[in-house]
Amino acid sequence: MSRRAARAAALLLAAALAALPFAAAADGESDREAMAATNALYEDGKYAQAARSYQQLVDRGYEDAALYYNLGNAYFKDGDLGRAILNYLRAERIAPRDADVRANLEFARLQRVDELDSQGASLAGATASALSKFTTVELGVSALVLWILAAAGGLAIMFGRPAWRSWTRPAAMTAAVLLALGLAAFGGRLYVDYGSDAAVIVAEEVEVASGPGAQYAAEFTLYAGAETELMEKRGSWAKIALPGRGMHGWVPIAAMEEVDLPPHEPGA
Amino acid sequence: MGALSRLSILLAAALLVWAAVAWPAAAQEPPITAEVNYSRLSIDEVLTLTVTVVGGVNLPDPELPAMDWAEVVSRSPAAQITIRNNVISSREVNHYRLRPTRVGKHTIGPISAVIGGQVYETTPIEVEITQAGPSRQSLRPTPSPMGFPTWPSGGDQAAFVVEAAVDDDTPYLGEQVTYTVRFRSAEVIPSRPSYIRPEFTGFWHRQHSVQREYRETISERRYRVAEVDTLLFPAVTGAVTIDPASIFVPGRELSSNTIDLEVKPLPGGAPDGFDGAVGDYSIAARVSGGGWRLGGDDGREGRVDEPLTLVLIIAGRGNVETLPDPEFPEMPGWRSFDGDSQVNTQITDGELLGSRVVERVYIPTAPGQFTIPAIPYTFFEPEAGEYRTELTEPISLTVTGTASQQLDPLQLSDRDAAARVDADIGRIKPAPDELRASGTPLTDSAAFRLGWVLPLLALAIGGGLKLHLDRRGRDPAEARRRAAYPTAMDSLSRAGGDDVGAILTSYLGDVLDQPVSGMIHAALGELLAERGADDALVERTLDALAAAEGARFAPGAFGGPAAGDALDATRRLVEDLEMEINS
Repeated sequence: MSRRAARAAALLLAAALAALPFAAAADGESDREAMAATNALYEDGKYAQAARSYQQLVDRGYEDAALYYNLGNAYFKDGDLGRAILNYLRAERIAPRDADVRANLEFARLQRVDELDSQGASLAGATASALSKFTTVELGVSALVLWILAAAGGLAIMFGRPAWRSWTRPAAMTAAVLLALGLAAFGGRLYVDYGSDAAVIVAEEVEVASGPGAQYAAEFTLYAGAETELMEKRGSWAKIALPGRGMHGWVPIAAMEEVDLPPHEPGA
Repeated sequence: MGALSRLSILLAAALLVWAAVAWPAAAQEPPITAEVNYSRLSIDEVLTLTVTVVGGVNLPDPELPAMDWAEVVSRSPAAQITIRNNVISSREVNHYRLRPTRVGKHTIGPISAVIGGQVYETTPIEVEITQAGPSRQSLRPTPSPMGFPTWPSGGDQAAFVVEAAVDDDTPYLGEQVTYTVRFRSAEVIPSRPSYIRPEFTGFWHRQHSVQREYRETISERRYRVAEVDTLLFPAVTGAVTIDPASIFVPGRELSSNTIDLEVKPLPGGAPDGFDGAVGDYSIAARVSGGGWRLGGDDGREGRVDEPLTLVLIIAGRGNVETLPDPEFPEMPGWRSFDGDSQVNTQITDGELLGSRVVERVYIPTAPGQFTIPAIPYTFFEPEAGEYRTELTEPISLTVTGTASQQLDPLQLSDRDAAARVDADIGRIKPAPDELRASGTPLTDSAAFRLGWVLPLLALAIGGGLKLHLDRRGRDPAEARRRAAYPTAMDSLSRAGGDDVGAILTSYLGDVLDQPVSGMIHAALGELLAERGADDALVERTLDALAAAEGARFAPGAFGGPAAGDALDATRRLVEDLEMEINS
């Protein structure tokens, strides 16, 4: 098959994926091919179609950093800055040290109308920034290993020979201190993951009202890509806050999207 | 619904659509605008014509009309590129310095620029040139009271109030003035009010993007207050009026008061080289060039034909965008070409700060020792009310080699263009070998949870065991007491009938933690009673000991079947004692 024919076939496949819902459960290999075909759509400048196709893969239950990153790119190129930042943030949660993800996220943030500092210069901001370089699994497993080491150290102190005490005690104390740090980091990460609901404004522009309804006065305006914290949902309205600024208000739920996705299984 | 009602609805809808389309359009800056700093000046003065072109990328240079009454002394372009929501827009401000050559009333005709294939033109500007002497004149000579209007005390206060004020009503020409519009609202407004700024004729202006919002109580009435600042820089002298600002709330248009200022001309006695800069600035010079290396005395060394870029940076407080460029020195034996210029501004604490970076490329044509002299920059500092001149440090240059072929300036431009980075997002990633599926969260994993519980269990069990062992190790009496029963039972299982006395005595000694051999029975009975044995058990114990002592003097008394009975009886007795006094 010539390159042109192969490219045409790939485009055709991607177009079909973009136009039709996934009718049958496909295996991982066909989804991987679907992503490759969607990449071809992107390279061909069909950003809206590519975004739809990437999104369908996400809806099938894949949580892949490259997939979210490409989806963010497609939204960015299609002019949807809010969803671009949203998906870069999702990619960052899975691959926090991926230089491409970080670079595109920072570049997209620079395009926002709102001049918001996503993390701030405070100690909490610096801590959140440091924690964001590790995944939940990395921090959790590290804390678990430290816990096992600290417990082993404790048992060695209890039952070890007196001659061992010169090294078992310092080793166990070190493991205990590291365990405390590891637990704090893991707890902080769990708070970020589950305790605070990050959300991104996906509407081009939204007025933040003082109450959950159109009858309330507008307090301020946010633009696409503003990173907020979801505090409460009531009907079709959501209460959001701007981290570190003490500003909060209500926006229609459709104007924002949460960074966390509800759990789902591949192929569902 | 009647026809009249339907017509009213249609009319209202049409008005809404018109408003939505027309208002933003009205608020947009026209693609090309022009203004002058004086409407009348003397023939020995210099007129600054500022032409601003806005649009997408690759803005064209404006085309000036022919002017036989003035010559263009210099042109200072400054470009700003903004990326908002993926849309790139540019704004190029060109400052032309015109030196009049003829007195009289003249017209600067329409200045044109072709943007997006369409020709845009400015409106003509009238200028009067007089004979030499102080004759600068503003555009609007009508002074009147200044400042905020007096707030009504008590009584019926308006639900909405719009006020305007400036922080200085007698600024110098080019000095920053902060114009503040304050909107007070005592009622909830269903939608966000719209603000239409005045034209600010006679000013260069820049709106501060940050607005303040707070609440205020006046005469027991609660107001929500919003303030918007605009930074103004007077471009004309004399009396100037700022028209009212307008705020639109549903169903109403509210207007502020007008503001009148008296703009002072810059004082006389300006030093040579002063070109109209107002503010507080510093100037620095540096050189760059790929083939130029650091030499002695912080100088630079390079070769003939090696381009060197002299970069001048003027930074400070004031209207950096309209600053005149410093004058680059002429370098004998060097060719020179215009380089890039760049303006960066920011508003900090309500003041416009920024830097202006201008470049010029120099190419040495012969070897030798050269010096870029100290470059002066003169400006008027309004706060001090005086002119100041700042200087760069001289830079020494050493050029080696011999004269060679001329370098085409076009190559420089190409190289500069090649150096520019096309800012964009990074490329997409290829499809991975396997797409990662969403799985069970780590904290819900059974293995992960077990990993935390098992060490905890091990620690708990180990700790309990350690405690137990320690306690036993520290208390011999307790150890003996705990070992008494198994030792006695073990001995009974292996002993003959004659041994029961010794076994029982040993058991009691361990349990009571004192030797009982030789103790009179009454004392032993009291000890047993103290440890919780009832009278019957005490009596059984004493009887058993008495029987055992009797057997000592009648060997074989516990032989045969009697031995088994004695052992069983002793075993039961030990069990009962264990239950009563040792558990």
